[in-house]
Amino acid sequence: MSNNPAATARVRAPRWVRVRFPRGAMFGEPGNRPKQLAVLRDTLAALGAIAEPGGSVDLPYRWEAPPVQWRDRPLREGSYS
Amino acid sequence: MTPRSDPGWIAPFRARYDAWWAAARPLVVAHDYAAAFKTYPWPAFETAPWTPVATPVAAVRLAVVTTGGLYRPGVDRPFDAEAPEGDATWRAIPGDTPLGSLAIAHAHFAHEVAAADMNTIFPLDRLEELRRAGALGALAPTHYSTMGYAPNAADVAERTAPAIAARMRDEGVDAALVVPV
Repeated sequence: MSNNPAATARVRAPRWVRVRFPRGAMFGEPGNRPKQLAVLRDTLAALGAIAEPGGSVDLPYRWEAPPVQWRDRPLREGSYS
Repeated sequence: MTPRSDPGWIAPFRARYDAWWAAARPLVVAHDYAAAFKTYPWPAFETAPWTPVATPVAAVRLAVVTTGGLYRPGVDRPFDAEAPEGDATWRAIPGDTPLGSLAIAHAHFAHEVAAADMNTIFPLDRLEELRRAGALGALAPTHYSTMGYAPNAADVAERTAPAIAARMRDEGVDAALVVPV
């Protein structure tokens, strides 16, 4: 999985899902069990569905909490944004 | 056609990495990571390695690899979170380890979210729920943590990843979920 699609595509990961969560929170908000399960269900489905090397699936879930502060930057959906 | 990982990139990468590190080290020591990594010699690949999934997902044995710098206090040596050139070692974490007993040694992400709920970077509790529901076959006996700040990609490719993969093979793992933190 990746929240930094440019980097993941560059290193040619075999198969991956994109999540739009901040660095350090790859399955969403703490305590959000339904969202964590949904991300994992979709990720397992992608494991079975991606048929070409380098294939990826964009997951639809979004960060629904205040931004994570990292080195004076508010992060909402990626390693750097 | 199932392209395999081609190790031909490693030797030229090491040469480029050494030249980069000589210039980047003072910037990293000063914590100016943006300037240091602006010239990082990213490896370039023509193809993605590929192994078809031969097992239905509902029967897959899955292992998790997090780069969150997790370790078991009192059991494992913590990662060297402050080393300018990172730490490319790894820790094996038995699947029955309570997530609340794990600690983080990783200076390159905000720990608040993971400290509140370790499933946000190492979702073993949720995967166990999915296993019980029949969504996957089994969880491996062992899962893994690295510390994501390990800029020497050649060391990761030649030492870290093969060692983890060998242990996964020994434990009959079909697929690995890699969680970059």
